[in-house]
Amino acid sequence: MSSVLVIVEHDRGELASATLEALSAARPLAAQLGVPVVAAVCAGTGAIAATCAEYGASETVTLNHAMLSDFGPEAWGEALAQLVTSSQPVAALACGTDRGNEVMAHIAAIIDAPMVANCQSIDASASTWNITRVQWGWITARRLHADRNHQVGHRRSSRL
Amino acid sequence: MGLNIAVCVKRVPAPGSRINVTADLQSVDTANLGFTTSPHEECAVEEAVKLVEAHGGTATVITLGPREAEEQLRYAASVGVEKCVLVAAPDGLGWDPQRTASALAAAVQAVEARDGAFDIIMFGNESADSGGFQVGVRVARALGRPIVNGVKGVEVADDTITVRRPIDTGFEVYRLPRPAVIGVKEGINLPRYPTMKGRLASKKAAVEVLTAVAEPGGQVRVQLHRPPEKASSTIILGNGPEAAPAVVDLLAELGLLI
Repeated sequence: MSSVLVIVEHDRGELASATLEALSAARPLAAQLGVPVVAAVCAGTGAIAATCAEYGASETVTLNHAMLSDFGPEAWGEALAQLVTSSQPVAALACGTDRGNEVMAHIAAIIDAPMVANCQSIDASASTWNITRVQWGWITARRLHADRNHQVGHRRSSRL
Repeated sequence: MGLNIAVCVKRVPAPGSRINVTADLQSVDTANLGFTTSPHEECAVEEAVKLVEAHGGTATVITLGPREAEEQLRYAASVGVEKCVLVAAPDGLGWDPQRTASALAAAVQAVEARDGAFDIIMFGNESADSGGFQVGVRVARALGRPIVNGVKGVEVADDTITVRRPIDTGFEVYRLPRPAVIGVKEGINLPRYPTMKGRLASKKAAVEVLTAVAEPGGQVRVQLHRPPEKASSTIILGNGPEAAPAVVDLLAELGLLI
């Protein structure tokens, strides 16, 4: 079943608060698309899964491997790219932190999908999505089209 | 044997410039606009020059963009970079990250096929203008090399590179095999100013021009939008002692009086 996949950020079990914003942003997008929100976490815990459920995730997929226990951008990116490839979500979202940006870049590079950083809003009402993102920091925003079937969305933790 | 280091830089509008959008909302109006190198990448250039000074070798600067981007290559040459490569794409500054990374990876491979592999390829953590956070990672993945972003410390010994990057609780330390890719963050060093001798030499520096070859990626810019500036106004409450009641009223209104 397709989904909006939210990449969960945590540090040895301590959930990054920005992930909650990503989950909150995923809910209206998933509702618009008629698909569930699914959380994906490397080396997750039951407490993380419970929190994700509180914030709207219908399911939390936990990826376990000795190389994933501590944060490693390449290893986390590789594992999550495998999940994206196998589960085929409509979109993947993460918070726009240093780690979120880095892991999403790895996922996007591995599956050769577009990645849009610093998103402010996502309009998925048409077959081609309109995404508004911040560019030049405070100065200019722009809208982007992205292929609906391969979209890797990404949003800034301080927005929405 | 010395280090062979490449630094990928981007020509961006100078900080502090007022950035306007063209009437068709498709690009930045470059009339009367100054350009510079992205700050993270300026630090990457400095780090490359310092590593070459310490270990020997050669530093090469690569940029994708219009002919005018030679300005950024020559600036790098003025602070000690020896080789300059322009990956020519007249409209390249507006390319999406997938296309940019694809063209840069192809250019790196072309240079390496002739001159040998780079021990280190450096990028800025993200560009100052578009801030996509992904070109370096995409190039590293295309070349099959490890990458660490957000780097604020680099040490090279034998065949390994040790990098440090700050996190909330301290530093993360990564050890990478050579060759590797590093995303440098501003603050790793204090970039030097070019000397007069460096400036003069940079004017004569040879710039190799390669043609950018890459298919568009999955993003298409629809339009740029410049948010309206916040309006501000000044209200004069009065002059001298007679202004005091109005000041008190204002402080009360702001909830600053107990």
